[in-house]
Amino acid sequence: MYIAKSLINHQREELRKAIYDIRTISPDCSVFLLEEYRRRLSEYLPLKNKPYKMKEKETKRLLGLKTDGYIEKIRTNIEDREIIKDGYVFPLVYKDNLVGICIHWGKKEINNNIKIRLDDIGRKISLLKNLSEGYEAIRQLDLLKQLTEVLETESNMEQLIQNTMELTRKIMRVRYFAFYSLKEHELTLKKAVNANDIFSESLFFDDLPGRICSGGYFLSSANKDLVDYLFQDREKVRSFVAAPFNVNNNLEGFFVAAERSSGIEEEFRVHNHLDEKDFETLDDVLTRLSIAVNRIRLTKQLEKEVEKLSKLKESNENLIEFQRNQLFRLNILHKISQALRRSLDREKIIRMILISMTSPSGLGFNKAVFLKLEEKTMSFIPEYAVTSEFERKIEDEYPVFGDFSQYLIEVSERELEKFEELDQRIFYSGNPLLERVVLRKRMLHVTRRLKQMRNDELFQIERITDSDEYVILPLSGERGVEGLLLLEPKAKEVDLSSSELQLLELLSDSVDISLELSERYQRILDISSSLQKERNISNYYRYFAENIIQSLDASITVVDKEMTITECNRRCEQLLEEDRKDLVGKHIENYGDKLGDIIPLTSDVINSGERVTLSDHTLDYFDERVFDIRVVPLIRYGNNIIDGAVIALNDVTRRYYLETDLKKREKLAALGEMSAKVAHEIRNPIAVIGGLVERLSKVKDTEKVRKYSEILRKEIKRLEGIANEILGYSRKPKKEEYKTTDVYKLCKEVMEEYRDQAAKKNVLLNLQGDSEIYFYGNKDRMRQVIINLVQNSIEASEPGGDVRILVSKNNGMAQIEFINSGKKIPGEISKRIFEPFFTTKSFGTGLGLSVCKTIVEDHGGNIDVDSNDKRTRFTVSLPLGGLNNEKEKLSKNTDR
Amino acid sequence: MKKKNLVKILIVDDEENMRFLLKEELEEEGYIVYDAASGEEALKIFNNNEIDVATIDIEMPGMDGRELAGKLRKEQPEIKILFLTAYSHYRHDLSSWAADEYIVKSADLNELKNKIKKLLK
Repeated sequence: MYIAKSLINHQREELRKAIYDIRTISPDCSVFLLEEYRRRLSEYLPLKNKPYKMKEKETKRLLGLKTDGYIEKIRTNIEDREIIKDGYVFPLVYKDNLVGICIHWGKKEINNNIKIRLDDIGRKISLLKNLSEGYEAIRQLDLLKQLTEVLETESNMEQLIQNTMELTRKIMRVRYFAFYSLKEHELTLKKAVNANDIFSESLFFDDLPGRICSGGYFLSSANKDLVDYLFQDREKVRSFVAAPFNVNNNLEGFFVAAERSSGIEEEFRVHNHLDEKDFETLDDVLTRLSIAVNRIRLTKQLEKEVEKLSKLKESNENLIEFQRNQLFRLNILHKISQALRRSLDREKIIRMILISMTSPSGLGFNKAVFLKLEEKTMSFIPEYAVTSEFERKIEDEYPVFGDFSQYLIEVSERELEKFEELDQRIFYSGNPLLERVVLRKRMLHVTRRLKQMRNDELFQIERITDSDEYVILPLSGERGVEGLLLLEPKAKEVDLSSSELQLLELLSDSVDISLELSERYQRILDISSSLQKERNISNYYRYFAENIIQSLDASITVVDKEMTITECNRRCEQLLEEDRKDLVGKHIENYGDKLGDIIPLTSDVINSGERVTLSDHTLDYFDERVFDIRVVPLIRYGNNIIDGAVIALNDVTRRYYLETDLKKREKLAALGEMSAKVAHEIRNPIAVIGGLVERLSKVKDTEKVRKYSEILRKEIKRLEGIANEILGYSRKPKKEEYKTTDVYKLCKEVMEEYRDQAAKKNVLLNLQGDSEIYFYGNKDRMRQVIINLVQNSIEASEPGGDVRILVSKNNGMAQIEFINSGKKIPGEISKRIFEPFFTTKSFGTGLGLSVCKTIVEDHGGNIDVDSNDKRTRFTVSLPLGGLNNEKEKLSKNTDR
Repeated sequence: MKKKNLVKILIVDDEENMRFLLKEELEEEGYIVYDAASGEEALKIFNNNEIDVATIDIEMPGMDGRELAGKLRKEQPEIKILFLTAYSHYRHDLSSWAADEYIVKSADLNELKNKIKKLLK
């Protein structure tokens, strides 16, 4: 580069010398150089103090000359003063390119010596121009490389424009550079390089800048309007170029470059103003800048979309995680219920509950306390407390069971330590919060907020817990609430979610049933032991007279103390494959191959005097057959002496396989159906979401991305809906779904649906009563109640029986009675018939009647059953609603 | 084997978003794709166009997928039929065997694309 610079300077000096050499021979000669763009001639190295300037018209005439020659009256100006002179004009040409002319003022002819020198000058000028252009091209190339780097890599918009402007200013060798941005018909000076006070701050987008923006503009100071418009100080600006800035065919403003630096050593340029070539350079830079701006904007947009998507994905994952947890908890709940149902010992049930609440494999509460009710003082006494740390220790001692319910059963064998601190009695009488728990059997969820509001009522409980949040769950048996369960959540800061509370409510139902069962079992044990005492041998024989024993389905064998057979019936003969006369008198050991372990069992019974019952028992000899076996001691009346034993074997093979088969099949079918439905509902949205997320990574089109996101949002919403549906089983219906419904019509609709089913069983359906009795509520749920009751009535009826449905008004209630002529429901069953999971049928979930009860009570009504030998009647009473009231009001008004 | 851009595929599914997804994916693969929301609509399209491959959902209101597949097969024995369903138990259903392929809906569409490619060979 340095060599290029000195070469140019050297050549410039050579040219100067050559021109001065000619002036020594022909002193009055001027050299004009041609400005290529404006086709204007201007004097180089002026002859006088000021240079000659040639007007456009005259330039044209002189350039028209093909050869050198004498020209009269050449019009030139020196500082606006016109001078007309004659002279000899010699075109300066190098390789057919005109680079200027030389005028010898006042001369008619010049000699060959001068002509040769002038040719040399033409060559020198041409060489200088080429050298200068070459040098300039190299300089620009280097800067353009830097510009490319900026345009391709810069990711900050501000920095991009700033750097581009600075580099472009250097490339174009301009002093001032500015960017006006267009927004709502206003152009604002967005950025200016080296020219803060030169440019106007803001412009209104009208005709003048409009011209720039429609196609670019370049000019010298000649266009006064535009100069005034753009520049605050017009004296400083002699030339500028401006070009529009479009991004994606959108006009975003324009750039202005003004004042080319002059007097640059390494440059040989005929003119100093900006020209078309400069405009092209600017225009090129802007086209490339627009691509870069577009690139940055698209990248930003893409980043936003990706962020949005990852958020969507996250929320989706959270939802799935939530569902998974919920299923997991339901499973635990199921295991707990299973364990509870397998125990009939109240103490064990309570231990199981405490352990399942705090176990890390269970519900994971931090602490669970059981408080026992003391009725006469109307208070609760803390009995046992289990903490999660204690529980973890137990779990270490016990082998790990794959089955949580098995684990609970094993662990519940262990005694728990009693609550140590005495006198922590909690009185509920007169305490509204606790009374609600006890009397209405409602769970109490204590939060920080509730504590602040009801501190007076809670302080008693706070003596046994220091947790910020806890739950009190009533546990009730047959006689109502028997105790309370206090649960502290794991983390102190975590609020229990409503779904967790719902789970606890479900669990409390299960516990209640188990407690009740255990009480009932205890009572049965008491009764049977007292019966045992009253029984005597003579009674026994009287009751089982010979012919009754003989015709029994069960095989009966009577043995004496020595285990010799003294009596047997027909079934026994068949079973042991010998006649009675052969059997009687033989020792029972003779039939050891068939009776197997019944023989030692009988010996035990005779020794201990306690009866033994084995249900669903198999004997090796009779493979595949199942027996109910009962061995009862024969006790002599009055003095408790054991005389022998009675062995009864009842073949229940058929019943056993039927029952187990049926249960298994039904459970599998119900489970299969349910999970297939859920899988189908979930699989569709998951397939769509998965597919679209996959596509999103491939698709660049913004419009597509938007469309995909919209669908994703919809499908995620749908998943959420499904989750809500699964979780929403205990949800109360909204009041908006309530409307006024004609009871009679609704019954009629249901009855029509079941007519066929009834006819198949030869049961007559019959609906009586008044139309225009209305209730206000959820029609679909009430239809479910009627369907359940009609179905139950049909099932309870014998073929040839009938089912009557009566609709009436009674005590201000709408009343529906379902009467069937089936068998009497025993009192103890009818008491429990509305409890969840209670069923006497070998099919069904046992939820039907309990659902009916819930729905009817949600509507403020009630449901009842009464049964005698002739008929069974379910009565549903609902508050009258809607039209009834209005009608009554109307009739009252007309009465007056 | 036909050129890929001449193969015509008919998608039958009552789920609008599922159809949209499959259409996007298969069109990108270069197939000509038609879609129908029901068996009835599918028959109309089938009668007016030379369909090479049909992907059919089984559970649809109105005419179900198996019935539709039977009708298409009867009209045009060489048509390739894929069942695309959220249930897997239809796989054992005899009437599903009329199809050339049986695919359980999933987020991964490669199985579908590969099986279509295989069927067209």
